[in-house]
Amino acid sequence: MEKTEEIKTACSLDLFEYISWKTDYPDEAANAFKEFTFRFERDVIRMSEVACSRWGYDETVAFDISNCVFQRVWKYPSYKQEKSKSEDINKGIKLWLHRIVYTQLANYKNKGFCYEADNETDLTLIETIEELVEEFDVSIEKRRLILKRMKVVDEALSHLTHKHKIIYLTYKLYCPDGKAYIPRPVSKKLQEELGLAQGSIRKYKEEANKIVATYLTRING
Amino acid sequence: MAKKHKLGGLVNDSNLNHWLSSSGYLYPRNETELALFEKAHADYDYQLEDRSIDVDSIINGTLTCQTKVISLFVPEEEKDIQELKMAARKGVQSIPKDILDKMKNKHKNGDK
Repeated sequence: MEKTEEIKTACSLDLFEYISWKTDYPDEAANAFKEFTFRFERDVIRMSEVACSRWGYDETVAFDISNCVFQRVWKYPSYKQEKSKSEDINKGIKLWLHRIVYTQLANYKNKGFCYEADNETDLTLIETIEELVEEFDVSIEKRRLILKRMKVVDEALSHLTHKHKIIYLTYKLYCPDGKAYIPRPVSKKLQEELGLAQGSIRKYKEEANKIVATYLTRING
Repeated sequence: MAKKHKLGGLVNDSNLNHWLSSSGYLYPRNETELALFEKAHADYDYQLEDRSIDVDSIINGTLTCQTKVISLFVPEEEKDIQELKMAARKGVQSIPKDILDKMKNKHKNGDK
């Protein structure tokens, strides 16, 4: 069935509604999902590719994760604009999709199917506290300076072993307010993947925090 | 006077999460971090530009992931780790020389 003009021109928020009608109106839901995927797949695949590269996975994993993100949307089209940090609907949806990318990434188990998040592990449900950083206009900010700042982050994390890095980033994702515990399923996944006991994971986290802090202190004087 | 580091003064403890979230280590939390991510990765060498989401498999409920199970460790390294764990359990008395050498090498090279 061809996508109708109505679906092609629908607001992205309305596409969620069409998708949610998949039991009663499967054709309309499928077409809305196709349109939604057409609009956002490039952003999701690109974000997955960069995220996977940062976490030490290859692009095959990135592609799996991207498919899993859209499977999640098809199953649970639960985006809420009123909870978004952006007034721009499409940017808000991108931010929401990126959280799903990282939910899949942090819980990636390589078992041939997508991760089904619960209330504890679904990053779209976790509130984040944003620190105050200096205000600047990204559009006029020099790209060279942006890349230089990102190089500092790369350098800081390059001092971590693979295990330290995975643990450090997982804690950053799930403990944005500095709390001590990550959700139990995430902890179990880390234990299995990295072959470490829970106590060792906490030790690795402390070491990683120290290594990054030491690097920043050293370069900042 | 100490020489200023060429990367000094750009990222510190108070804005680290902001830059982790803008560079792809963590998800962007707001429009600014999203814009920074996009600007910084405008000419990134994306490998999946010609790939598309498998919409039909998702709708039909037949989506399967393509990746194969790959251990983080190469088999040889996995074997080494098992031997080291065994040595740790048994104590230094019964550690064969070749295992002791492996342990020393691991210490020398860093436990990566």
